[in-house]
Amino acid sequence: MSHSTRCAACKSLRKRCPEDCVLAPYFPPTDPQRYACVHKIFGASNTTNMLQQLPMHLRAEAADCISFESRSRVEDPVYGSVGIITQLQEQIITAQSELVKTKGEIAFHNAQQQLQQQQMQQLQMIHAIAQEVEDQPLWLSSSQQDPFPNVNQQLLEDYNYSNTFCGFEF
Amino acid sequence: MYDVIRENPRARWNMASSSNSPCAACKFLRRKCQPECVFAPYFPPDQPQKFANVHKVFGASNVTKLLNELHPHQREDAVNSLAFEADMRLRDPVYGCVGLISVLQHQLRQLQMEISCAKSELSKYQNLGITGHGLIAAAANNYNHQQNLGINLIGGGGGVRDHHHHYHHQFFPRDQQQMIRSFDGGNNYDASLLAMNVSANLQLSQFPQPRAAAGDDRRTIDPS
Repeated sequence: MSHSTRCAACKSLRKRCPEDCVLAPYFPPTDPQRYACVHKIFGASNTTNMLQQLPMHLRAEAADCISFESRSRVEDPVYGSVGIITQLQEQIITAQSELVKTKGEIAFHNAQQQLQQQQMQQLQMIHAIAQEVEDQPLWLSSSQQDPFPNVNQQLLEDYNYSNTFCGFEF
Repeated sequence: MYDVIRENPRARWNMASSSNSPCAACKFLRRKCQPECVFAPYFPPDQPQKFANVHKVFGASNVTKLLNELHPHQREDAVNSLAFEADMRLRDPVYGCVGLISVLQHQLRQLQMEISCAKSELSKYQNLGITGHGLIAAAANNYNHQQNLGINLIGGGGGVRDHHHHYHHQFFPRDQQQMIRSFDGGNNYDASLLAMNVSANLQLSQFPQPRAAAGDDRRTIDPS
């Protein structure tokens, strides 16, 4: 028994595609390019061996990864997937630097904010002191001084009256 | 005279020129290592595992074809990257080096999200820096209007009586005057700090300097 249509691998190898073809589920004939890359880089027997060593439920993912690696290698024959890894590592380093720089700026602004709060508190203290000055009696702030701060007002009136009486002319 | 070769026959092989010793590939494949062997420069005999891995994953013939398609100066990098991929594939038969790519992509995405969050937080501070002028001005004016202070903190108030001007000359003790002078921190910032848009700090440098001379020492805040 064989598949009604051969898989891409068996088509490429020009052979009959058996029912239990290891590669058939993962390399359909509708995508010949997928198997072509795998065949060029890994080869049919290596790919079959790699998939056969895995349990069934993991073979699809493995086939996808093998396909990805082979396509990367065809596109970049020198570095293949390693070129992608290198690029990602460089991007990570750049991103880490940018993150550190941004966090540094945030820390700086935090420090500035705290400084401003301290300065506002000092302002408030100054305002409070100034308010105390404002609340003091007016005569203290003028050139006029109370010459008798402790004198009884009645005594002062009596004195003024006696002076007036003594000055009366008969 | 001590004859090294007679005493140690294997020394004949080792003492031969290094170009005659088979490379790791030819040793593995049990064949004679030709002078023009394409593997010899990249699979030294002291690294047998390197070729063993590459052979297991890619196969010798595939590697030969790959190397023959490249310039000689590219082959060393190609072999090293193939060796890395083969090693990763043997360590992880399902994902190979795609697993590492996936991890790195995830890490990069995380970092980009963190950068995005950090930048949005930073933009809040920068916006506050612009509007902070108004906040501090409003607070100072509030005090100014309500309590008729003799001090003009921010000159835009306009609600101060003229005869209060000399109060702050007379009734602020010396230590308070020192405190006011210390608010003039703007002059102490260097250009790098200014470049980081910390203009809010410049507010407090606008305090009038206590002077004996009379006159209008109000200053206005530059809203820029």
